[in-house]
Amino acid sequence: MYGDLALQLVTASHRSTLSTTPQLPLPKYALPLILSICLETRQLGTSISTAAETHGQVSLSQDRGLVCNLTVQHLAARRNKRCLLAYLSTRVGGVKERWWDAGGGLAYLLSPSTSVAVNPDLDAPDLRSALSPQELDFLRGYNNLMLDYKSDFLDVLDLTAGIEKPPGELMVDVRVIKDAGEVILEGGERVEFRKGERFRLARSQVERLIVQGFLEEV
Amino acid sequence: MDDNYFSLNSILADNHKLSCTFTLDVPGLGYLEGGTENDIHQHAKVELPFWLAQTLSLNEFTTFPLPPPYTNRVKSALNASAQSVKLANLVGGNGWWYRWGRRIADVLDDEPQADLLNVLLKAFVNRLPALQDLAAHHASADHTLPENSTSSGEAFRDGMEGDERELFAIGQESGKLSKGWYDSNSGRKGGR
Amino acid sequence: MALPKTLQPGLTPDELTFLAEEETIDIVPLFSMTRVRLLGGIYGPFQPPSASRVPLWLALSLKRKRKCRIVPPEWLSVERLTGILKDEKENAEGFERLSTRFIETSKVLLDVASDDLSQPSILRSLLKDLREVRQAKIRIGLQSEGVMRGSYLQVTNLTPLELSELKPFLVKAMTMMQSLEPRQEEDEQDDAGQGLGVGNGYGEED
Repeated sequence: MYGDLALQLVTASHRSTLSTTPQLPLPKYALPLILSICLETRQLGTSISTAAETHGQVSLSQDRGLVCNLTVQHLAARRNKRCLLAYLSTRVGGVKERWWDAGGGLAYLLSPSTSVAVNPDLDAPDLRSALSPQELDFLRGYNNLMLDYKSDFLDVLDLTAGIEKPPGELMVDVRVIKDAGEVILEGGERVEFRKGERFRLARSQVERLIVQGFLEEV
Repeated sequence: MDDNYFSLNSILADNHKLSCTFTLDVPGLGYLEGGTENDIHQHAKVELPFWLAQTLSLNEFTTFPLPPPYTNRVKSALNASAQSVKLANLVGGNGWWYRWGRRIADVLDDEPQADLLNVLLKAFVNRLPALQDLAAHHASADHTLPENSTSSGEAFRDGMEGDERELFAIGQESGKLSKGWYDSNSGRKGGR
Repeated sequence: MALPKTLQPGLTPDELTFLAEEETIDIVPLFSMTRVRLLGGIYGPFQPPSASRVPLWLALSLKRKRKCRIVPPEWLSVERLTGILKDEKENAEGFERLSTRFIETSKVLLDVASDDLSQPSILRSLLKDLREVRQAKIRIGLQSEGVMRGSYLQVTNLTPLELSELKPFLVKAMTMMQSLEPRQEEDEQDDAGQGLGVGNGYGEED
């Protein structure tokens, strides 16, 4: 039945946006399903134009049965289009959200180890393989756009800094829960972050590492 | 309730099926009935999703009676005790009773339209206190305890439809956030 | 959306507490220091045993480092809170007027500086009772006629913290109610002649 494939797409998409925390991994871009829907829609389009040509203007204005038939096909095609667009639009929104949640860390976002850390139990694809090539291009483009925008006033404000908790004290005690290796801090100092070690540092310096899961506040 | 083009909820709500009667013969449309017939005949009854039914009915190719979730029987049950009615049973576990009802109302004449909208509104308003109490209760409940589905509160929860479940989640979330803040202690850590 | 999901419904209690910490309060410093110019203003001089007026965030920071005593605001006393609680209970129609940052300030002071307050456990208990009385009134209000008509909820004298807890639920509920309102005249004129006779299952005769 027309529209069934499109419904599958929307249902799957709806399911994946239901949970808010922790952020579910983005499901794999449903390329086969989308291709099938596009094929179905094209076939509908061809069928409509063929019928219109065959029967001519007069029939179209008088043969109600014909008009009904064509209306159904037209509605099905429009329905497919709406479902496809909603699917794509929801995914694009999800991609942007994940970029912001990662504090703009594109490399971190696309690395395979990230999704394992977030959802160790699920057999989830990592973000990079879940995106279609176009979506990946979009993500890179969005990343560049944001970096470009924020660089203008980076000396005053870091647009991608975490804002979920209002700032408290200046210094923060952290414990390393994942080896981060040698990290160069803002002031130029080099610090070796080995698992298990504790440090007392300025919050602004280590905010990023806390978000990415290398450090833990104590 | 948004009818936004891109809204997934809206798309799903439009998918609810209802029984329609064709007012004319339509050659070639037999597949809608799912059988082997090539054509649809006048007076044939077919289950169609609302996104088809709406336009077809507006153009008088089909007609439809009020679908089961909105009949007088349901109306009486709601009048008797709105919060006892399991709306989820009427439209399926993932259904949208209010949204779909509103979409149907849009294609009705004045009087049945006003009537249906009134039924929807009264039901919502009369179920709201139970929903709100439940959300407040769940905001503070200890969720490590197993769910007890026998009390009337839990029975209501099982019967909530889509928008009610979203509303419940919102209430529960803001309650939890508040409670978490009240219970937290910013004394020792020196931060948040 | 760029804004994290937890921040989208409105200001969180943490954010409201942050804002509350802008208010000033008296402290008795346990150290000496001349006047100091910070980004937020000029504070001091700090000379025990004289009191100094500083923003709450500075007071809390110093207190955590054991560098001062905090002078409780005059409303944070067992006597005053008992009076407010009594008024709140007797006022069935509305809410008592509290200072805007009443809840956040009292909580944060009890958390960080309970040793500077007299009878902190009684204060805690009074504040808890006050919250419960107000919450109960809010719940009743949500089932009032105004809300049931989808028109309005009386929230005079609710503090920002209580409002932000209430807002997301109330907004969604009232939006739904408004969308189920009977259609206005103008809408129906556009669809003239397009409706169907549906009540008895038969189509309109043309």
